[in-house]
Amino acid sequence: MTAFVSAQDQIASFMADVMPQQILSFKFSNDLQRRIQLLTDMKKNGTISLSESEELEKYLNYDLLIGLAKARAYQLVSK
Amino acid sequence: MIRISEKLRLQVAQSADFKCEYCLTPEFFLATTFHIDHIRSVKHGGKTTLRNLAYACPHCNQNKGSDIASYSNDDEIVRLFNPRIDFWIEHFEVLSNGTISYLSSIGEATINTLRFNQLERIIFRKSLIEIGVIP
Repeated sequence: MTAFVSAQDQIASFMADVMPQQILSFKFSNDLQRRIQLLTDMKKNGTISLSESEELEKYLNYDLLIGLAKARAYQLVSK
Repeated sequence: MIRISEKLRLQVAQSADFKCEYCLTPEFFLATTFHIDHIRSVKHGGKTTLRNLAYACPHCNQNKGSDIASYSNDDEIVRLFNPRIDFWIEHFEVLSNGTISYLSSIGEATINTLRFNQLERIIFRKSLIEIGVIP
């Protein structure tokens, strides 16, 4: 397990332990959803810049981190 | 950017059971709302009709781009998985370690293009398998 993956794991576990119900219902704001949709569309049609591409990658990494926390939280509240 | 009505968007989402039609991730387990993907991209003449629209997580959607095909390991051009005409279980298999393996050349091309097995996605998928959300 790389240090980065370990860090993700620790953050996800912490979020799930501290606030499982809030994590389960968490969604990015509408503004952020629109930004992610816009950046995705730009990437799909080849008009995205390098900095915008890096921005999109960060959002999607956060998305997977939240996803990991949601899975942990689901496990906790299902017990 | 093609405008898609809320009614059409909901139809696509409901018919997909609010799961990504490419990697099977349920929308509930991500912070993003899922996107409506043109299976055959607009660039390649795809229409905005139910038959050409799929519910896709942003991860699959951004990797798919406007692609409709890719090269197999044998250097053959192979079309990507089409959720409207293909059956998922004929092309892919979810393994207990979180990876998705291919059962066909279409599956292989799709896994490579949509980057199903990116490390962070594997870790997330494994956590969904552990809680029984992905069979």
